[in-house]
Amino acid sequence: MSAVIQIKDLSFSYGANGKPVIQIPHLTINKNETVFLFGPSGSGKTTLLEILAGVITGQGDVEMLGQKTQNMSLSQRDQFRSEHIGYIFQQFNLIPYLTLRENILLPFTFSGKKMDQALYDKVVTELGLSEHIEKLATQLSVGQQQRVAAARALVAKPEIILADEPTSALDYDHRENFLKILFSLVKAQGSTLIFVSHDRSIQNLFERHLNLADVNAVKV
Amino acid sequence: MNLASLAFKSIRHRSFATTATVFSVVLSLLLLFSVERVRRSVEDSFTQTVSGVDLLVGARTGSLQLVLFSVFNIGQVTNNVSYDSYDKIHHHPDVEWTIPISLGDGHKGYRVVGTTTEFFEHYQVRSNEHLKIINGALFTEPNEVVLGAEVAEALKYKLGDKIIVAHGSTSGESFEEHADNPLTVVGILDATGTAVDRSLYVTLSAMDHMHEDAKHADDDHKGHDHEKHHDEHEGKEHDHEAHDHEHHPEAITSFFVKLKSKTKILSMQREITENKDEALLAVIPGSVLSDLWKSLSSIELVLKVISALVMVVGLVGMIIALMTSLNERRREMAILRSLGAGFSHLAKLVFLEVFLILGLSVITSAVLKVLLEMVLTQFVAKKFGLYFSGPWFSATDITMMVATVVVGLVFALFPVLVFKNKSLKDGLAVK
Repeated sequence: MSAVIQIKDLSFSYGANGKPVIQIPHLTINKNETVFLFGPSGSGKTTLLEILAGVITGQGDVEMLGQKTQNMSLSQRDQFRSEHIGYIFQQFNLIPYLTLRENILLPFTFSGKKMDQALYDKVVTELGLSEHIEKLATQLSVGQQQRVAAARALVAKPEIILADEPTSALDYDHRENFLKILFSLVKAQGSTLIFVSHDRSIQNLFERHLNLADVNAVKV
Repeated sequence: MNLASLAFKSIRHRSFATTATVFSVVLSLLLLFSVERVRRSVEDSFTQTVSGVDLLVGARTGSLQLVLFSVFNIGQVTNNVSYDSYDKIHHHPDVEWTIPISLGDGHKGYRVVGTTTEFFEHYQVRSNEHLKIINGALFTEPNEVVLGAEVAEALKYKLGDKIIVAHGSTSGESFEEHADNPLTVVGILDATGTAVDRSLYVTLSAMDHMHEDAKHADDDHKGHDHEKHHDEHEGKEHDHEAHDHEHHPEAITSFFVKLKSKTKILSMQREITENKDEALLAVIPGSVLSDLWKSLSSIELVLKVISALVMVVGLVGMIIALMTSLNERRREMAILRSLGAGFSHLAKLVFLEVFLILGLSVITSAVLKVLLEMVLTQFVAKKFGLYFSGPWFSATDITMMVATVVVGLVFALFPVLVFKNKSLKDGLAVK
């Protein structure tokens, strides 16, 4: 099994002299793994995802898909993210003046990748977004917005999916549908999934359960 | 979806801010256009008050003075030209036509000009516009008067009205009036935006009559017996066309000369100036007027400085509006970056938006300018005596429009650079 993400001696603190939030001596995540990342609030789950997504950088080594991301420039990290990572944010980060459809397809405007129509249709249908597809993002409910954000990350066929509490605003039925399509896509595309959640009831769907408190040397 | 449609949707989303920005840029451009238009019109009406004549001849005085009193009615007439000298030049083989001017009277602040019908035939304003009678006809009798547009408008005279001309004073009320010589309004000239509008035109002989009468009444003549005799002999009732042609005054104030060939201007000028019989001065009015305009360049400079300040204020307003709207979009830009938009994408996006806003502003202001000028031409000409001549857009106007777009685009670069160096984390944070 090949490693998709390899972390060595990673540390991160807010501000130059701030107390470290994260200190991870060693962590490896393999290809096709589905990881359920949990831990108490403030243990640095979101921070870790942001480091992996290249939104922020820390000290130490992070190798993703064979590339060391911590030494990349801002625009290289932007580029890397758009090519390889689907990030489902905790906040949904939709563009208010675009329709649902336009929001989902926005990454293609920048990446130059070709969109997979069949995949798009499948994702949109299964997430129950078909009937709202021409609505503006602002006209959607919170749950719908979260599904749009998820659809946007999935349609781009990323190698790594980073999901930060993507089911927090979903009701039971939609959560089930969402997880079902997420897992089917991850399997079909051979993606690697890191899923942050407080909801331990779904953890059995995942191959690996990772308590951040166990790998993080910084104790809350 | 391409960047252009993303830019368009983003602008449409902020329709209020966009409209406000467009409005402010359009307003400052229009202000700029107006100042430039006024500057052009003032210069034109100044330097082109008289055109189509080659020389202006008067008694020896300063050349500027001669032009000022002959064309603008400013300053005092110091000396007259004898009719004999005028007649000699009038019949000179190189001369095509002449327009005699006899000044000295006024009517309620407007000057009265004694001249011949050649004035209406040949006098031109603004390069090639002849005078037009819009109402009535030319004078034929010495007791008839043709009014400039402003005179008729301001004093509310119409055809057939009788007016009384005052002696000596062309400004304000005079105590010395030619009350026994009422003149009948027979014609009204079209507005020209020049001193012509502020004048009343009578025949040369009418001018002479009034003065003879005045001299008679006041007993302040210099003992020209034949004049008195002449006056008594003719009388008002006695005037008729046939006689008018024969009659000529003793002296006139100055006269315009048109030569058959432009190449003769300088030699004719020298010939007149070197005339032994009478001390005369011949000037090229256009060149004196442009010299004068140059010497008044501070006026032009003031107008240009105002233009520049207006432009600076307008652009600053536009830049503030752009900066504010771009700052508000910090989060939006961060989202786009999180979805893979690189710096070049964001820069293109912002440039497209700014370009759309500025393009819209420039086009709107240009269209409004043309429409406003079409609608207001008559009003401004009547009210302020300013004429919109020449092309719709001067080189300065076009420079302003291009500068607006260029400066706007340059300033749009700053917020983009700020986005570039801000961490994505900061942008995505909900503040």
